[in-house]
Amino acid sequence: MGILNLLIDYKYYYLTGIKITIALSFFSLIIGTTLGALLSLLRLSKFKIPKAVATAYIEVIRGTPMMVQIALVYFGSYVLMGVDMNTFLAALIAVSLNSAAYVAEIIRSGIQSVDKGQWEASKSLGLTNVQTMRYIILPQAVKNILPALGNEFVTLIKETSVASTIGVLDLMHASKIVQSNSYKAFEPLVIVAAIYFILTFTLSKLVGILERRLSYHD
Amino acid sequence: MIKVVNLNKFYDDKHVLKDINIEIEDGEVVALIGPSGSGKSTLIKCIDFLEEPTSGEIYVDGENIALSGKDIYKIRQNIGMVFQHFNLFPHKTVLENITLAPVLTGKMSKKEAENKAIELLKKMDLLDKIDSYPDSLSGGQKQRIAIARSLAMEPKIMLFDEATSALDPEMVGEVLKVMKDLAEEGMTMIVVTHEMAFAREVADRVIFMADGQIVEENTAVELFENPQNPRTKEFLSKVL
Amino acid sequence: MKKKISILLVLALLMTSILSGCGKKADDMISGDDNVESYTLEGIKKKGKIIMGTSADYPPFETHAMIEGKDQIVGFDIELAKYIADELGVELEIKEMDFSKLLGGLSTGMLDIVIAAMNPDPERQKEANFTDIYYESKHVVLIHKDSESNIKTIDDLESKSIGVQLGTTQEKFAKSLEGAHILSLTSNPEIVMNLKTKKIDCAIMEEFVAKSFAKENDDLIVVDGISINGESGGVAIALKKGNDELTEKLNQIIADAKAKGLLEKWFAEAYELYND
Repeated sequence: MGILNLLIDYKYYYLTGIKITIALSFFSLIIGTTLGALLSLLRLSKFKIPKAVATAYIEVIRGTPMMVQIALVYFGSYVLMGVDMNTFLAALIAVSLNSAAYVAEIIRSGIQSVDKGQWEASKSLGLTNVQTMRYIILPQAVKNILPALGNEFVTLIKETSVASTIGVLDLMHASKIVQSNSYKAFEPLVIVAAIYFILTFTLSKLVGILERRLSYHD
Repeated sequence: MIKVVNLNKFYDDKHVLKDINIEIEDGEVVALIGPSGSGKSTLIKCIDFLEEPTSGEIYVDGENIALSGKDIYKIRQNIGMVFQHFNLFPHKTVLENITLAPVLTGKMSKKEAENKAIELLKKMDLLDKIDSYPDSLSGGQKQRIAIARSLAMEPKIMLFDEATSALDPEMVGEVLKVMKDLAEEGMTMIVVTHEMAFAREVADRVIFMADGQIVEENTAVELFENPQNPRTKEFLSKVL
Repeated sequence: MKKKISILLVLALLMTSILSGCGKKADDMISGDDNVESYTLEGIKKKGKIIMGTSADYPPFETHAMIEGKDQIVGFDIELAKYIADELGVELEIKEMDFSKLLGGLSTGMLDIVIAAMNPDPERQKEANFTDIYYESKHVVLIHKDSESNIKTIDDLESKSIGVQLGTTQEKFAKSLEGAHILSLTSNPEIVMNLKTKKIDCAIMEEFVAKSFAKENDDLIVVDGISINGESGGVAIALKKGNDELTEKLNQIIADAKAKGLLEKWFAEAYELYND
């Protein structure tokens, strides 16, 4: 079958593409989550300036296309600092910065979804706001946040495809290479859709297992 | 012990508490009754400073709580509150629920807190649940544990916000018994409730509120037998 | 809401002022010398390498291929680039990106030259310098084999639906045909899919590319006898606007290679590679 031949002939590009797509998604998630947690803290801050900066950042990132953001990072770093940035690094930075904004929202909504009564009970016992957050609210928020982070990971697998526009050899780029070298229009599309699907499906299932594990805990 | 002076509270444009004035003595048990939306819950939440008054003062043990700043935490440690929906910490065991606050606030050491927990649970006949998680408990058990949790802080006052309203009828009794025992031991209590028989039997004083105002206030017996205000009469005729 | 808008405005202003202010800095920092830009002939010789931008998805001009177990970018344009680097006595560095981003890369100074089978049409000439044409491409018509009998000459193209790649000379040519209905798409595979599903009657594309598609797809054929050579149907090397000295030098090198028959040789070799 034509598809099988394509897979075999171009397996180097597909395998490299899969590795890079997963690596880019994974590390972006880690960095993005850390940054997102920081952004959340700033948003909860009592001081106006950090709060405004964090909010502006989140609004701008969520309001502009990823394609534009990655081009800004890659070309912008050259224009601003004369830095000739490695394409993978540029993609990692752009995707992480993007993910941070969404993670900040995930964290905020995870915290807000904890029942208000928990705050009331905790405060009525005389615990400070910090103690309440640390021992009562955050542990419960994590239960909502973790599965949402898992979903963010799945989303990132697809979002990282913008990296192909600056030359990163991810899965999307692999597909373009196969298309242009083989002159086949449909088959490479079917292949790459199938691979993306397998990746996202597997991850979704893993996230589901994580969710169940967490809810059995109490 | 507790003095509320000209308390007013607005939620945006809604005037939910209108010029409330109350005084509660040490050891008194006061029942707050009235229709839904009368402001009863808001009032006791203000006393615990879980809600902030728009104007007026609240004095707990002579201290104006609105001016207490950081000390509000200390003040809250002396006031225990029990909620309609229990609000137990679902990710902690019964023991942890009870010992968390005493230990974190520095009131007791871990060992002391554990002993206190065991003592309280024994009294309520719930010692066997000490390592269980809240979701394995019935409503009545949860509420009694919630009361134990508040009592572990050895408060001077206990506030009850419709503590039995969310319970199945068969379990109301076991919780009311705990509350009655507390009253008999001399605890100062403010109880927001719909359980009229309980109010009549256990409360020293009953305050009837409607539309954010105190309509009538009297000893339990007097208010139930001889209501003066027509609004009170109307309410009692519907619920008794 | 008002506060949010003003915050965003302040941020946007900050960003634009930083960006415009620091633009010059980059070039100075690379050459370490206030007067020499890194992408000029002098700058290139100073840094010892020439940075070429391309979009390696267009065989036989540039594409990825596995050579001795390693992935490399190869093709006609690559051979030309290597030759240029040799003639200048510097290393060649290839940067790959989306075709649409290449001219942007030139204007930021990140790329020194762009060799990507790019046609120097008037709009592009406004944004960049171009060398002389180094290859004259021919355009042909690709059709579904079922249409063989009704598309035989250029006149037959009028009132047909034609697929072309966005921003190409083929697109311009197609638009000049009377009554033709144009579908402009971003890539050749997209055009081919529309053709195979008969959503369009025909497609105009570069000869080599069209023949390769016909070879790999039994249901497509190249119309014998239609050959479109329009003006400036060739490809040239793009440089940053104003980079005149380097442009002149490259023109010399291209003329030189042409005279030595190198251009024909490279194209034949690249063609061979993809025409087994």
